[in-house]
Amino acid sequence: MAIKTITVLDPTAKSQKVLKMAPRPDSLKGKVVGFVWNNKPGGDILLNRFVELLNERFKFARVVKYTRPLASSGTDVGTLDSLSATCDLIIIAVGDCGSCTSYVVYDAVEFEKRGTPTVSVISIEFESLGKVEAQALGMADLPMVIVPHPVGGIPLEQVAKKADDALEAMIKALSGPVGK
Amino acid sequence: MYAHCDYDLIIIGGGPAGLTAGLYASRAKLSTAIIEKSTSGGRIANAELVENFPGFPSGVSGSELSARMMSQMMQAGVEFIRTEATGVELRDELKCVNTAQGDYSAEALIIAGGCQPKKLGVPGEEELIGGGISYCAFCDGSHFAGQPVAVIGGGDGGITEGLYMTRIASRVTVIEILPCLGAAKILQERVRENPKMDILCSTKVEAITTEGNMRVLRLKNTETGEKSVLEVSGIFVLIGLVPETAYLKGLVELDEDGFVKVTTNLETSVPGIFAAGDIRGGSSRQAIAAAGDGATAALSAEKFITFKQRL
Repeated sequence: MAIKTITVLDPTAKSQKVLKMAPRPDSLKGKVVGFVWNNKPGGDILLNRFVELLNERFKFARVVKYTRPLASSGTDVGTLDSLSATCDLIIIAVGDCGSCTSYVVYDAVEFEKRGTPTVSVISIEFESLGKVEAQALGMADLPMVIVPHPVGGIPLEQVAKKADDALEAMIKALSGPVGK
Repeated sequence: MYAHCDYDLIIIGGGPAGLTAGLYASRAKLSTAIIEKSTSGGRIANAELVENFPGFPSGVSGSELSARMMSQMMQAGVEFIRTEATGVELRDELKCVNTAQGDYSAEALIIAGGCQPKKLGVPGEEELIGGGISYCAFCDGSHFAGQPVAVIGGGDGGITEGLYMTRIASRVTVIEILPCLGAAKILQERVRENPKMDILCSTKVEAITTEGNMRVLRLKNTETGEKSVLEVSGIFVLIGLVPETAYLKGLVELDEDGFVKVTTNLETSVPGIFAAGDIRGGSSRQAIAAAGDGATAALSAEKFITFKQRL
């Protein structure tokens, strides 16, 4: 009697990779905080306003600001390493187009992999893309603060107001239970 | 020498072609990875509104369309690798993709890496990239809020992005080298109805210079030879696409413009390597066509792998 081999296929989808995020601090007081601006108009205004508001409340030990040369490329490895080694927390802004959202999320994942907790600031138009990108990179719960679109091309006080309105969400994202 | 094959299929490129190929391949139970170096969803992720992708009667933003395609691809179980493909080698009948993160091997390969915006190639352009010249209005348009801009190129891309800029800039001048616009008629109608848009046809950009905060376009009328200048704050170049195939030279056959030559089932000159989307010769460079290509290439790859495994 001939032996017949039957191949049984597993119908379930292969599970996606899951990377561990960096633990969040118990308190934001006295931390060294990095602010990474990707050169998109308005992103600097948002970040400066967040610096002002957060520093007032939590008295950071130091604020480190870094400006990426281009929005449509990621931060180089040397800078990722150096900022990660220097900062306790990093805020990245702003994802308000397809390419820049991808690279904001990419940078955030790279910082998290290096052990530095992050928050990415994304405009609502690009929230879905940012979230799916984070999932694809293995960090589906990557903390993001979502602000109304647009961030660039509007009066500066309107941009700053977006930071005012998103402050509590930012504090929650910086110190939330993620990664603990 | 490779001890094992990492995947049944590797797809280079995560735009509409690559994501659709991934979806089809995964449903065919092929272990599949997509390698994408930049923006998930590809260039379409930067489109403000996509109005010609069936299934969205009111249009859909490029980012939303990309997110949906990405999400569907991941649900199907495709692995996503964020890195740049720098080369492809054939080893032990496997296709090996070299990347900064190491090499990945597969039974079959789909090249769907798309294109980059074509540059004007005129004096002054390179020096002003990122400082007044951009290739994506939706990405960089807000730098020029309330200021005059020029859009070079009167095809679908140029007119779509030019119309977008009329909401931000004080004035938008579209410069087209041909005697008439090449954009779809529906877009041309919108141009005619838009009081903030000027059109200069039969006009060639010869050089770009800077004077103070302004960029100066040095223009020539291709019919009369008359020369003129146009001062603007920002310039958006949308004159076409060039394929990202430099790393494939010597591996697969390319046409004279660098696009990958394919058969009707989208196979390249190398058995088991397929090409889909904007990167292949003869593509209509439309998102929907790229998605169709992705499906065709994945089905062809499946046949190739199945046949090979039966040998």
